[in-house]
Amino acid sequence: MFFLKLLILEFKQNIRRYNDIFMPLWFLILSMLIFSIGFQQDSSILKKTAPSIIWVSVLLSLLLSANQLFTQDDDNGFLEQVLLSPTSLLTFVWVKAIIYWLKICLPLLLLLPVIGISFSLSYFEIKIIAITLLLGTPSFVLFATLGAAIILRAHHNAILLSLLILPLCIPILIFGLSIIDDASCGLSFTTPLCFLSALLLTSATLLPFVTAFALRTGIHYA
Amino acid sequence: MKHLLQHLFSPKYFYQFSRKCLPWFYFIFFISFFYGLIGGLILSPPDYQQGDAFRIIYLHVPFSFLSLFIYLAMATFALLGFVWKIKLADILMRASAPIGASFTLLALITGSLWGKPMWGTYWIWDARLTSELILLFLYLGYISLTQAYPQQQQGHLAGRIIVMVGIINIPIIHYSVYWWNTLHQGATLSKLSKPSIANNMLYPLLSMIIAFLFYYLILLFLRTQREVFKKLQ
Amino acid sequence: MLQALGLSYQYSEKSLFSNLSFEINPGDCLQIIGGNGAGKTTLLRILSGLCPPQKGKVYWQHQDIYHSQLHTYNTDRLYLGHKLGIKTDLTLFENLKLHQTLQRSEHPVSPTELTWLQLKNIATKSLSAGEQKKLALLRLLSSSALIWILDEPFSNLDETGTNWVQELIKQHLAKKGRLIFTSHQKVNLTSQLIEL
Repeated sequence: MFFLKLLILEFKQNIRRYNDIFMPLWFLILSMLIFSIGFQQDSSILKKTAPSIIWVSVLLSLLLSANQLFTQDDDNGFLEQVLLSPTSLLTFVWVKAIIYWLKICLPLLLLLPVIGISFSLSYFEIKIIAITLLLGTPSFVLFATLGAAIILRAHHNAILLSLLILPLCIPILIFGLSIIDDASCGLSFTTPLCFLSALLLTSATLLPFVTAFALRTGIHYA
Repeated sequence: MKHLLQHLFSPKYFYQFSRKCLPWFYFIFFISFFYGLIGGLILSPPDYQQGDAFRIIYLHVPFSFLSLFIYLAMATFALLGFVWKIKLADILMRASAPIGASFTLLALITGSLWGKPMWGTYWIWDARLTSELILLFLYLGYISLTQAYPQQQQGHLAGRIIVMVGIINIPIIHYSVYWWNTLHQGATLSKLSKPSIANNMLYPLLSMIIAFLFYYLILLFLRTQREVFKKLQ
Repeated sequence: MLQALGLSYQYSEKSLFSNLSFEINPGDCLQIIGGNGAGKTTLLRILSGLCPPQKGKVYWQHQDIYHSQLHTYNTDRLYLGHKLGIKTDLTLFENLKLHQTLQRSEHPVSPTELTWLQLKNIATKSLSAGEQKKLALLRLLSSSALIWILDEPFSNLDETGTNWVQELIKQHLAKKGRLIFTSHQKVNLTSQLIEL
């Protein structure tokens, strides 16, 4: 109940900053444009690499804005109030992660059919990409919140976040893309699908605790 | 347990302990290094497939072993710091990181030099080279993270967290990269199965590993001593 | 009872305070005074649980507040620092609701209080510093905390605001509440003093 109330208020706040929602989308489309220019409009290569391009662009646009996740709440003192309140930091981290996913990943997923058509992907391929992104992006978001909590008060934190978190995201990327690979070859993709889901479950159980811990120590020793 | 560890890792005790240990470490390092060098380069026969080129194994294997071992050591220090509030843990971690990063870089360089005669190319995106490269990024991430804060203590705490997350991730990364692509020859040394290596090659190799392990300990103790000395003054 | 034992804190070689001990009993009011940079804010942050002391302990009802299992202090203490914890993208009422949700408190703030303070239900962005302060101080009304820790509660406030806060504080103390605060202004409250 309290969780829901907090979620709604956080959502209201974010919806009023619509610029933050559009810019990652904008970045995603731009980076895809750049990839397609880079491949000289060779449609056969482009069609083959489209899932990788989409996944990598999603990951990058997600990490690029992640360093702002907690800065506002830290600047206005809200984070301190959460730390001192009976509401646990873990709840707050979950609220933040869910809102961040809704803000960045949901628009991307909704836009996916359009992007797929522009890469001339089939309906089946778009469906598979959507499923893998649905399983992969929450893990990315959880890693991004962890990164944002760790680098909250560091210098050059935007680039540092990507440097810290990108290596940790590689397994998710690998299993996500191998599902698409296997599916497009007509093979069974149960094994990588299981791995991707297992990674999601593991990160969902462990990472928020670490994130909350990082936020607490970050405030304590500031 | 807590008091014992805090006593063992108190700056003063550590300083005295390391001063007593260092001469022994030098001794073990020199003995095993020269035995490994002579045994590996002169006494052991060339490999029947790879010729003399395989001899880089006497550097490559110790380097890649230590690159992982030092990260594990750092994670252990992080755990000591979190659970038993040992202050020396951060100094030990910070002293270890550049050594570990250098060993990782050396493992990558020797690996690619070995790759040239074996695969005909310096770099292949195979499982172990790639995960070694990712390990290098984990080290660099730790080093730049600890330096990115206005206050040192904050950097240390952030560093501990990222190393703990990293150590849990390393097996997952390794496995996933292995899944993604593998071209490397099977592991040369393995605890579970009988090693696929002749004894007159194995002993110099083990002795080189011991030599570099003590080389790490020597560097670690010297670097930590300097930091502790600065603090005690 | 809040008890501080042997608190010490130094900030980059400069010692702010050392071996500071005191107790606060029900109905007590403690004012911390000292010049700029004397460590008043740091002391309040230590007492509220935001910043572990380098030496010493803080006990609430005989339990260490920095012990990770202690949750009672989070409902018993209300801290208001320089940073007010107001989200400027939310309206006034939403901000109040947000903090009530955080505090898990059930008493709603009545709109009459808002009109009395001449605050309107508008986006918080357009509020002045003093109005934001009043909005933050409204948390005192709905709180059931036993100890208030307030950092400069009277700064930026006009005279009616100052009187309103003093009245709230007096009611709180009369109900056997406790208060720790810092202030540069002359305050019409009987309190113990700690000088840093």
